[in-house]
Order: sequence, then structure tokens, then C-alpha cells
Amino acid sequence: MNGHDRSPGTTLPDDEFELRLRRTLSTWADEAMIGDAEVPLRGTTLAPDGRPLPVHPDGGIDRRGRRRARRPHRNPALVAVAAAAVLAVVVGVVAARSDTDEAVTAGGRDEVLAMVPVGERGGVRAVEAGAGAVFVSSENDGEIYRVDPGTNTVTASAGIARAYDFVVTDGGVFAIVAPGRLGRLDPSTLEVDASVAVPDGAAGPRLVGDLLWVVAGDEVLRFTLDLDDAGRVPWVLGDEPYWLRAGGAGVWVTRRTGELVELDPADGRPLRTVDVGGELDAILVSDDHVWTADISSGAVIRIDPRDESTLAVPIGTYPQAMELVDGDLWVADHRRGVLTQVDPSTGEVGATVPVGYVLGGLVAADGSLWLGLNQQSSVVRLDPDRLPAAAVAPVLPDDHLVDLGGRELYLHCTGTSVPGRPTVLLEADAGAWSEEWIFVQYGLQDDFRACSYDRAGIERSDPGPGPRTASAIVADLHAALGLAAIDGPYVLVGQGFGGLYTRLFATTYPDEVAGMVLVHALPTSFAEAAAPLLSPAEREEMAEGLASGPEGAAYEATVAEVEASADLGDLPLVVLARDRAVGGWPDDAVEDLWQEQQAAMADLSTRGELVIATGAGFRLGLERPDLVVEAVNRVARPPG
Amino acid sequence: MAMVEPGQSVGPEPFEEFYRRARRPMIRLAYLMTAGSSVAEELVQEAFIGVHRHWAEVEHPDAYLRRSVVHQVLSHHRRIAREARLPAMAGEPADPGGEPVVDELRAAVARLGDRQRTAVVLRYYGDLSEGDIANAMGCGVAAVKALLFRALKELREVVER
Repeated sequence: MNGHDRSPGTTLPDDEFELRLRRTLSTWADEAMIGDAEVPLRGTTLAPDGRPLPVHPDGGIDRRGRRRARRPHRNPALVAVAAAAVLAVVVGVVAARSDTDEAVTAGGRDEVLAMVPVGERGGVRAVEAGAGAVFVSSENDGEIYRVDPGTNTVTASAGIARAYDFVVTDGGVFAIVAPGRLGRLDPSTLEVDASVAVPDGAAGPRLVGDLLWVVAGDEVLRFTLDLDDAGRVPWVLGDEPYWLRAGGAGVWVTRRTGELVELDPADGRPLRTVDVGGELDAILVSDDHVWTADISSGAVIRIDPRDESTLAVPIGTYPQAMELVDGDLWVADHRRGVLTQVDPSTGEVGATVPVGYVLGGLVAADGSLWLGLNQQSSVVRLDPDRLPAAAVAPVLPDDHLVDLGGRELYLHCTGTSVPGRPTVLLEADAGAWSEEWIFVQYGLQDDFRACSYDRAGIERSDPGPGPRTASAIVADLHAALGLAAIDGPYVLVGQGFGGLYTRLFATTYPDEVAGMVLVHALPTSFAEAAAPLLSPAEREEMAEGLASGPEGAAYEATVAEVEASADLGDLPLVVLARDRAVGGWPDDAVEDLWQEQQAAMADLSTRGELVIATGAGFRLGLERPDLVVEAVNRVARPPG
Repeated sequence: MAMVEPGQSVGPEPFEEFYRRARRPMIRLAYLMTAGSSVAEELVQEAFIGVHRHWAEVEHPDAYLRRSVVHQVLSHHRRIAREARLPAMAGEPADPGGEPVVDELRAAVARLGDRQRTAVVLRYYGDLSEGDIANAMGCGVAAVKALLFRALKELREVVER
């Protein structure tokens, strides 16, 4: 990227350049995959002789039928690390409790039967089972993968155009294989063995009885499993998001407006509407009940179609995928990253098990639960009998929306205060918020009250006035703690950019702070010191990264405030640094500088110590929550 | 990230009409902002969910949605960049999507910093004024001018060499 010094060969007039730029953007925008482009079928990526492909095939056929080399945007080593991180979450949370109960640790490892990488770009969307295999779709890859439960490996994959919906039967896997094309894929090879035209933008398919339903405009196109036309029925639910499932209890659709509609499978007409309330999302139709999830209240709701009686079971913030296995209902909470066990007859909530961050689909097959991990490009195979042993206490709602003079600040607290123990305050990195700390909070909740929060202008908190310098952030937090009666002393945990704020909090209110943990925290002088070692492009990227958002705009003032604040005296301090081998800076000199400055931060206090988080990268709080929990324990209960 | 399934025909309520009208153009915009990533549809969906939540209070749904989409895109990029160790190195776009690059100008747009690319897309594809871009990106007009100036300089170098 040394083009800056190059003298231009030709000079285009402004308007001509602008025109060319506009044309380029316009052409490019038309390639967005939302339906209209004329796109040929993609072939399967299975080898012609039927042998299984490696998980990351190095070639494929793109949506336009051109041969392309795959360019993984993620280092494969990082994918492996991400996979390991999820296991660390499961193991780590329990390991933090292992001093009291060793059997629990064993349980924590045992319930993960396998971790199967699928694709490489994340976006795992749906998981279905049938025809002796488990099938997983990835929206970002635009692929469907067949996972063999005998070997827990991917044995075939193929391109599909809509990752939301596909249907698995013994006779085939049905999916929109290209815009305007419903296809049947061989369930062993995922080769397209039949296809039929459907309108562009058609959604589905769904299996209703023995027919496939595809929603297009105000009609439902129906096909037999041989893809023969089986006639059309009207679609009366309009152009809104919906979920449709059919089962023993009938054909049901959920609406975001809080209604559940039963459709006549014969003519598509609504038979009745049950007003459940809330914002209904996922749906599961069993033999005798309909289950749905209300994402506005975080509850799953059971409806008895005979008398329309309902039973609401509060689960968490975003109950999403649901599955019945061995007489239990398991609900995946997308945001809290947990599976929750519910007794389907009484609605009693059983085990709550942390499993990973951002969950995709969930299906039961071969006596296991198969859970998609959206961000980690993986499906994890879990033993439902062993899951309860890995349970944590469910998080009781202890959220606060504190009014700071006409604007609200959101705090999310867990655990209960123990006399004589500090309250843990969790400050997230730039671009992250309270949810970054979910697993740390699970790990802490038995021993500490811990609160994470969304800084002003982020997620659930309203923007704050004036420049968002560290002193403004610290003042917000301190005021909110007072108003919510969240008493100190506090142990402060700051990750990344958030470390700047915890440092200023500690020097501003030294009497209220009992200890601090800096988690992959940003040293104040790093950007300046690293600048000469970076290329101009890297330098600009870093400057832009630091400058983003209102807090970024105040970055220099924040650094000045933190540097001007006193040192930390003898405050118990742990500096948790990421492993240099895990996503370190590409240039050794820059990485050396980063690690040196991490070590130097431990000298901010006479009781500071440096801990290298072996095997963990920059999202330490998610990757190794156990290490953060351990560090909190160390500063909160210093020896002697 | 919500798993919603967009249906197709006419809805009676204003939000549904808005959704139908604004969704496709917004996905195209987000697709460019993400340098051609298939995640655009999901980010736009997430933004719509936010708009829907606040539907009663939203006065200017288009501007609100745009701001929300920009926020989604930049947060997404920050996450990806942080995944790949911040900052995204050596001009590689954070999420290049699956398409092979066919045009040097397009490749140069993909190589721009995320905020620069967002500003360029809003200006030359979305046809927004600098003031509207500043509003959408949550920054000042001066910052937008600077982003556009630097971005155009880089893009020009590519086509003129």
C-alpha cells in the first residue's frame, strides 16, 4: 500500500471519476444476494467419486458458476482456537468451582461429545436431522453441510441460496438451491437430483403433512416430495416475518405481533387465531402442544390447542431454538449462550447450561442434542443426560435501568452480595457491551455480586452529553451505582478500552475500590509507541479503529486523563494478558511492545502481577472466563 | 441475528409497508458497506428489529434505519477486526465475502477502511449529503469530509496509475 508516493499516470476529471465510482458501486450492489439476480445452480462440492471432502475444501463453485479459490478470511488456527474457546467456556465455568466439587468438573467435560467445524465464516443458521445424518446451514458460507453422526465429520456440502429453511426427509434434503429454484438434494451426497422453478424471493420450504410449502407473494406453492406440482393455496399472513411449523397439533404460524395462527393444511386458510401477546419468534409443534418464544419478555410459552390455555416459562433474554428430547424441552437462549431444560408438562425450569456465544439451530438426533454455534462455524454435539451435571444457577433478573437525568443507563447484575466481599464491576471493551461478560458472570455468581453494564450510547443505554471522556464515563457509572444502591467496595474488571475507564475509576474513588483486574487492557501509550513500527496503512487503520464512535472521538482526552491520574498505590491488581501466540500482532516488534506494555501495567501498583492467559486471544472474557474469575478471586481475597 | 423468515405479500400495517419498501435497498447499501458480504441481509434484519421495537417513537424511519444499519455494519466490522486482532491488517477487507473481485476500483473500495468505505457508499451509492452521512455515522460533517477526502485520494490512485 505504498501508492501514496506514486505519481499518477493519467488524471481523470472529477466528474468522470465520480461517474466511474458510481457505476462500480451500482453494479456491485446488484450482486447482493436478495433474490433477483439470474444465478445458475451451484454444484455440490462433494468429490466426484463420492469420497468425503475435507472440512475446509480449498475450491468450490461460486454462486455465478465460476470456479474460485476459497480465501479463508480467518486464520484456520483461529477457528481452532474459537472452537477450543467454547469448550473452555463449558469447562472453564465449572473448573472455577472445582475446588468445591470435582465431580462437576468431570461432568463439564463429559457432556460435549463432539465439536464439528462446519464452514469457515460463521453464520450457522439452522440444524435439522433426518436420513441418518445431521444437516447444518451457514448463511455466511451459503452452504449446507452433512454431518455423519457415526464419525462426527462433514461428509458432503453444497451451495444453497437460503440458509433459513430446509427440510430433511429420508428421500432427500429440500432447499432453495438458487434464487428461483427449489431443489432436492441427495441426503448422502448433497447432489441436486431434481429441481423445480419457484418465484424469485420464494421462502421455505416447510414440510406440511407430506407436501412441501413454499411461500411466494400471496400464495403458497405446494409440491410433492418428487417435486410435482400439488397446487396452490393462498398465503394470508402478508409480508411480515413469520415462523411456520407443522406437527401433530396442526399447522401453526407465529407473528411478531403476538398472535399464533392455525392454518388449514388443505386450503391454507386460517382456522383460528390465538392472541398470546408479546413478540413471538420461534415455534415448535409437538403432538399435543404448540411451543413458542416471546422475545420481548424472554419466555417460552406452551399453548394447548384444545382449550387455548397457555403456560409461560421465563427463560432469559432471547429464547430461540427449542427441541424436545427424552421427555425434556431444551431451549437455546441466543444472547445468554445457555441451554435451559424445561419440564414440558409442568413448565418447571431445570438445568441452565452455558454452552457458547450466539447460538444457531438445535435438533435432537441419535440421542444427542446438536447445537449450532453461529459465530464459531461449528455444531456441538451434546449428551442431554450429562448436561444437567454442567448446570449453573439460573441468572435471576437483577437488571437496572437507572435514570441519569432524562437518560437511562443499563446495568445487568448477577449473584448476591456476600457480607465482607466486594461487588465486581465489569467494564467491556470498545465495540462490546454487558453481554461480553456473560460467562464471567456465570462463573462469579456463586461467590460475588457482579454487574456489567452498557456504557452511554451503547445497546440499551441512552447517549450521554458532552465529550465521552474517561471522566464522563466514570461519573456515569459512579452515579448509576449510587442510584441503583449497588454498594462498594468494588473490584473493577476492565477489558481492552474498558481498562482505561477502570483505571480512572480506581484513582478517582480510591476509597471505594478494593482491587482491579485488567483483561487484555489497552495501555495508554501503546498507539503512540507502536505508530513508528507500523506501515502507513496499518497506522491509519489503528487510528481509525481508536477514533470510532463518541468514545473514540474522546480517545486522546481519555488517555490524557488516565495518564494524569495517580498510580494505583498498593491496590491488588492482576494484569491478564493474552497469549502472544494467539492472534498476536503480525510484526514481532509490535507484539513485543504490546506484551512489554502489558507487563508495565502490572507496575501501576506495588501489588500488581502479570498473568499470561495461555491459549487465549483478545476476547479473553469469553474465551477464558475461568481465568478472569480466578483473577477476581485473587484480588478480592488477597492472601494475608 | 434473529431468525425471522421474511414472507412476501402485502401487510396492512405501516411497519410492514416500510419493511417491504426499505429492505432491499438497505440490504444493497449494507452489502456495499461490508464490501460484498452475505452477512448484509442479517445485519439489516437486526436493524429492522430495532426499528420495529421503537416504531411508535420513530419520527424519521429511513434515517433511523440507516443509522441503525451503519451502526450494525461498523459493529460487525469491529467484531470481525477484533477477531482478526484489531486492527484489520494490511488493507485486507475484514470480511471479503465469497465473490472474486472483478474490478480494480471495486477491489480498492473493498480495501478502504470500514468507516471510509461506509462514507463512500453512503455518498456515491446512497446519494446522501455530507450532513446526512454525518448523522448516519454519528460523527461530525468535518469527519465525513476527511473520510471522503482520504478515501477518494486512495481510489483515484488506483484508477489513475
